[in-house]
Amino acid sequence: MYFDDHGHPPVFERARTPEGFAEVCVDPEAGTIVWPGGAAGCRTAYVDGSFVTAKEDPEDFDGCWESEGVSLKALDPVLCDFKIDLERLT
Amino acid sequence: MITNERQYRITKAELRHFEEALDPTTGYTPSPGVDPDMKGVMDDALRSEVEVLSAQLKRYEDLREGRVSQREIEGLRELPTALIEARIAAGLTQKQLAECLGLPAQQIQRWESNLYSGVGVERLQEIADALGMGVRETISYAVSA
Repeated sequence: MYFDDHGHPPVFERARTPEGFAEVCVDPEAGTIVWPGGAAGCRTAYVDGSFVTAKEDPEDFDGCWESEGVSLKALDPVLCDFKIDLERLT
Repeated sequence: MITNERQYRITKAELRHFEEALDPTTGYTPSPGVDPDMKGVMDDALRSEVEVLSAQLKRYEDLREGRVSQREIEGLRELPTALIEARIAAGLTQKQLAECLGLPAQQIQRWESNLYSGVGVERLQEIADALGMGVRETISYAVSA
């Protein structure tokens, strides 16, 4: 397990201890790593849209993330919710 | 929101790509390291994009074809959107509106791209006048007791 100089998110705190690391296993159905602490295991995420512009009130942002190795069970459900308010958009 | 023909063409092309991705004959297969249930989530994301782009295309077409003659706004924050829509409904390009107002050709496009952020009230009025835009709004005051 590699953490760069920018540190690591708190969700990996337990996995950094020998006891926590011993709990790391593979979900047999999904084939993804089960991390103690509940990390979903996403390696790369990109944030874009008005959120990264100079707009004073971005209102929303766009993003995408690499799905390989991500545990759906551990993923925050908000990332799988694609309901949209079309009236607000148009 | 789609504000000009260029964005309209790009959006149409992108919509096709999303639709192709959802079509079983031209679609995609997630790579082996992806949770098998993830395909459903990915398809939901694609469907959501199709919905958004289709709605934006329809709104632009409705405006351009003269099927929208007014918009109710729920606050001054929506005024810039109304100005953009009024221009499209009036059949004017960004460049034509800029010319009407004696502004550099790209000026309206620049203002619209950041929703008229920082543009003064007098200028906004001038644009509304050039577009023949009528505004009748009821403004509620927070009356002190």
